[in-house]
Amino acid sequence: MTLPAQPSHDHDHDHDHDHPHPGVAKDEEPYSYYANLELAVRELLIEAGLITADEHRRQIEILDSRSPLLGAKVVARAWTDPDFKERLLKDGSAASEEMGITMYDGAHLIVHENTDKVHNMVVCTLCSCYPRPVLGLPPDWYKNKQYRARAVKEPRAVLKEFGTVLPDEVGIHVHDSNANMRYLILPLRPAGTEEMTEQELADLVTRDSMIGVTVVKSSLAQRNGSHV
Amino acid sequence: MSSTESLITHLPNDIGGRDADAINMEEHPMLPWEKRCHALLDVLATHQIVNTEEKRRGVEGLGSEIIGKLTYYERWIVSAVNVLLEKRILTPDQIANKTKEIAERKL
Amino acid sequence: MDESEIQSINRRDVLLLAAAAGAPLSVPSLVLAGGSKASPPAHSGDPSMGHPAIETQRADAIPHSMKVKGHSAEIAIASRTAFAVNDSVRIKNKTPVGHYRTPFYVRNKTGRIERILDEFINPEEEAYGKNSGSKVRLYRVSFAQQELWPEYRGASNDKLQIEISEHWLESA
Repeated sequence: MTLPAQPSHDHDHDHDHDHPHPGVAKDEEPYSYYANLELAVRELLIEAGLITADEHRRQIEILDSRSPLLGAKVVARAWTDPDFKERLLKDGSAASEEMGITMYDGAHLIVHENTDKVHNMVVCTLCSCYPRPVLGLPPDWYKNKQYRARAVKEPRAVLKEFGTVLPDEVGIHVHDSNANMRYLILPLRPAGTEEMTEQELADLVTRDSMIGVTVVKSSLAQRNGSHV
Repeated sequence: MSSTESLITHLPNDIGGRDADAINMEEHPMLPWEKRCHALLDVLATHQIVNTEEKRRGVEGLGSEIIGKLTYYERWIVSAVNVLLEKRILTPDQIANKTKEIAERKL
Repeated sequence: MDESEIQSINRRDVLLLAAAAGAPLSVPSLVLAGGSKASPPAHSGDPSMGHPAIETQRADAIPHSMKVKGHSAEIAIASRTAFAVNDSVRIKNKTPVGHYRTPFYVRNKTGRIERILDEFINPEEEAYGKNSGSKVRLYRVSFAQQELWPEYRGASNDKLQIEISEHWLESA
């Protein structure tokens, strides 16, 4: 959590003494030209009246509020509520909004369902497009060139590196997220979970299974010893 | 195609289908300044001061050497600066003075 | 919207009209000014199939500047979709300079339209600060992996899907 430290007082002062300023926590990281550049741009734009410090802090709150737990809730709801699943597959943005998750920047959410016949996976070969409102920020490997370069051309080899080996009868559908759509994968609900509650099911759903590089296993909860 | 043509027409980020090493699944926690940088670019996109596509284009325009040496969010902030200068929202001297002031403030 | 932007929209629509005249429009879905949608003429197959984005298109999807200017003709022309679901399409083999979102690996490859999406600002122009005005239709195009990578090792039913703007598509 990195909301900028608030000044401990509000008197006029010079900048030659030692106390925290907004965005300048002294012990948080070593000198970085780029961190200073970010602060410089932000302060200049705030001084110019183009943005406010408040909306920047608010955006940090929004970033902090997003995580794969949201996507897992969507998946568990779809597994347990056939009507919701139908709406989710028809219009991912609208169905997510039912759960209080809103898309941004003109992007729309498309949800692809994994079945016995088709396994879906997502990559952004050009940069790092990712369904942030439902999954938070992408993992490093999703942004790095190895995954981006290889996922489109040798998806089965990439899946194998994630421990996911699928028979040839299961078609692999790779989705290159290159423009205005964002993709969430609805994993296959594992066998042996028929008695589980929606929350127990959500606890099984991993970030990687919603990117489509792994499958959801019924044993995850047992291994972690939670909600069973 | 001339030997340099693809440097102009093939963007350095357009790597789908290239051969590459095994995937490194190590993840590093986001640094505080990286989160502030991400939030700043989100705010700039919301106001269309630097839209998402401009930010991407700015990263691509850094060229493959800089792209290879800078980290993800280092590329973002340099891209944003270049776009803001290009759009005459900020000036080079403003950046110079403000980064100097911040460096002194942090001493 | 300033004068130059209006001119550029008109020029673009003339180009779109010219393109449309050369090829039959398989899904002439018209979005009228104000957001109401004309009934599409009879179309072989399920008209709703693959068109969720169009079905849910709202008045606010039309740029405000165009609505207040009342360029309904331009809007109608710009909203036609040149391709229908299942059409065979080839990605144009061209090389823009500056910025693009159509990666090299799909260029000159043949796939089929999987879904028709909304219209968006052309990212090649958005990258240079265009935030309003004319938009281009976006499609999801599906390729057999063997089409993209002749040496592809994997199942024959493996596919790749990607979003492609209309100005990158030609009938195949």
